[in-house]
Amino acid sequence: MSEPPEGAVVFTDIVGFTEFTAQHGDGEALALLNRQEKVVRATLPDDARVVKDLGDGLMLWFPEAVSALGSCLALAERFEEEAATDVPLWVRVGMHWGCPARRGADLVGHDVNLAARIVDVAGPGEVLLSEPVRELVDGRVQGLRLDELGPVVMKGIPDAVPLFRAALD
Amino acid sequence: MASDLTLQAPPGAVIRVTARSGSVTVTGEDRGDVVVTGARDANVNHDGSIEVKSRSGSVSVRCPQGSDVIVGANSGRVELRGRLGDARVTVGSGSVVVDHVERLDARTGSGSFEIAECAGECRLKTGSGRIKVARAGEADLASGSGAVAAERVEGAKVKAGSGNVEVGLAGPGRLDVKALSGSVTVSVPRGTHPTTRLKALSGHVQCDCPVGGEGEIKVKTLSGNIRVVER
Repeated sequence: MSEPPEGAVVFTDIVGFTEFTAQHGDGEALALLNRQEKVVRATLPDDARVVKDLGDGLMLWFPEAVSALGSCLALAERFEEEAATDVPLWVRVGMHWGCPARRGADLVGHDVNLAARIVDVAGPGEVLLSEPVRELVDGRVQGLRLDELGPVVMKGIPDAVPLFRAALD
Repeated sequence: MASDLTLQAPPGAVIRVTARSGSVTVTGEDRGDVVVTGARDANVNHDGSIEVKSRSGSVSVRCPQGSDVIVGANSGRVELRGRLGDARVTVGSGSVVVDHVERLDARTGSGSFEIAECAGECRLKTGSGRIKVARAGEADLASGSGAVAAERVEGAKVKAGSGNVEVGLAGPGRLDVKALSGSVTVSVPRGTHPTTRLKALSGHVQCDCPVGGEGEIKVKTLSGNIRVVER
């Protein structure tokens, strides 16, 4: 498999999964993870992939920024719809654009670490992205609103990083 | 003792503060300049904004009231005192305390919020921590594990993990609460007749106010009780 060196590294995380599992047991939790995987696979374009399963979240790779953002917004929206009709759980998403190192099918390096930190900053249902992603998507997605959060200081990242919240009007 | 640094700010200058660790206090008061105490670096940018950087320790910024503020901190308490304009705050771990802002967009990974007054939109996110809002316009509140209490809001969206939720609507507004395991209590002014859509998957639902078409209250919990009361 050959993929371009640059791309979007995306982390997703189900908010409240630990509490949900404690209350409803492993069986229900497993069903929830299966639903997440089904939703993710339905929203992923053909050239994107699930890099790895992180328990209550996923690490994803997209070679193209606009389709990456579209998938992430669709994912958040699908979970929001499910929260309205079924179990009130949400997904949060962090996106960064970079050139991570390959280790087999896995991705490693600073860009991956930064994407992982970004999802930690996101609230339930939010899609947050870094400046390199903003530069690639701004003006290219109809109805896209990007709200700047300001410089965000994150553990283990030397400099403050400008982050943006993405939403569709 | 840290020395003060005084900067002449153009009217409407945005105050941007980044701090790796330690507390940050920004105070909006009746003055024309900006006084910074305890920072490693403080400058006026080309766009007229004030940039304040701190690595550790306490940093204090006193600025004209109504100033817009952007704070990014890794760990430490952030206080916005006096009267400020639009504020954006991101903290890795630490609490956020606000006296009065026009609009607020704030988040902390682990830490509480205590907001006295936000005139307009109030958006707060915490991974684990309590949210307490005395008065706000439209509120968008989320806590992974911590209680949420909004005393008087015009309307709100609330997402809560394991904490209880209490929301007081100032009038016939729109409220949408989704909670996992905490109980939810909503209070409306006496005489209000809201539309209600209340659903507890495994909890008790009680509505003590007359229903009608004034505003809409939607509450859904996984295992917590729901109660709507007049006050």
